[in-house]
Amino acid sequence: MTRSSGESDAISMLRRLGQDVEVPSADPEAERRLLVAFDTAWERKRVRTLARARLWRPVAAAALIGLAATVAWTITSRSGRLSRRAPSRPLVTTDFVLWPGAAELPAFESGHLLRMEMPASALPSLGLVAPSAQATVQTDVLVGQDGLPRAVRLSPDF
Amino acid sequence: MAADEQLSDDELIARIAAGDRDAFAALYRRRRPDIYRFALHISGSPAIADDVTQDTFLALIHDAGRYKPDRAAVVPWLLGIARNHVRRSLDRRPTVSLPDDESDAAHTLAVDADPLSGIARRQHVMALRRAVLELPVKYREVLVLCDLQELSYADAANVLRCAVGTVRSRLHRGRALLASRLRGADEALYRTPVARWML
Repeated sequence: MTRSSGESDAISMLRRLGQDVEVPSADPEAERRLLVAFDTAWERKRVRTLARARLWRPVAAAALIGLAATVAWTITSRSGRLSRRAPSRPLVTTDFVLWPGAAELPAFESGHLLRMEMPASALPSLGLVAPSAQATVQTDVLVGQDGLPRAVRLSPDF
Repeated sequence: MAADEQLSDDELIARIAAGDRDAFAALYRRRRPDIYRFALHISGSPAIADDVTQDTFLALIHDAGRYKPDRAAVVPWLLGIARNHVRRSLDRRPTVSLPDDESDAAHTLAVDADPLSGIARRQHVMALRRAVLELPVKYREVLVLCDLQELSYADAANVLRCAVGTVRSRLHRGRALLASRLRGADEALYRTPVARWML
């Protein structure tokens, strides 16, 4: 796009015209009005922000409480599941003690371990002490190759 | 306040967006002449120019947060706002009030050491102003932005929200239109009594 002489004249005249315009000095009253408008607008913004905060505060609090309750419930239910899995009775075990009369039996070669419920009242005669006042206790009885008991202990899962 | 005067336009806008009153006052004092000149050249009316300047800064109070420094510089952005207000004003008051050259000439005669050349110069400026104001707005805007305000094509395109190519073509067409109108105005000027007397 090449410039004609008329166009170049127009540009130079326009430049002169641009410099020719005198801008009146700032009107202090106009500036004051603008600053008042600025203050008013920002005051309104602050009020709106506050109002919004007031509106959202209870909602946020409720949400927070809900979240806390959910977390607490989750933790409780998990620990509940864990506690249900854990034995409700105290974890008491003993070493094997010789079954009464087993010393006279043939030597133990092989056998089985039988887990069985036994009346708590029978324990003293076996040389064991019942760990709690329960009617029955769980015991492991070692049975020899001949089917006769050789030793007994309170079950580890008791 | 004095510290605000040292800040760049971008920094001032950021502070205005955060509610800094002094930054707003500083930007107003710095950029009011640019907005006023632009509005005056487009509208031809000092009253509209005053109103538009005020309205542009009022808009800035609410819209400072929308300014994106990566898209345009502050002046083109403000001129874009001013342009919308000028257009609205021109829609409401489509007649352009041209300056009263009779009273200007009388004023010049009272103070000028070389009154006749002063009158001729002023008449030439008047003719130029008239020619600019008689251009269609789309050409007038681009001439004012690129030739009077001396904005880059890219900045002018930002103000006008159009492509740089559009700015170039409008500018070319606007200058050609203006030149042809000025040739006619020059012939008319040389027919005035003062000019005839000088020649």
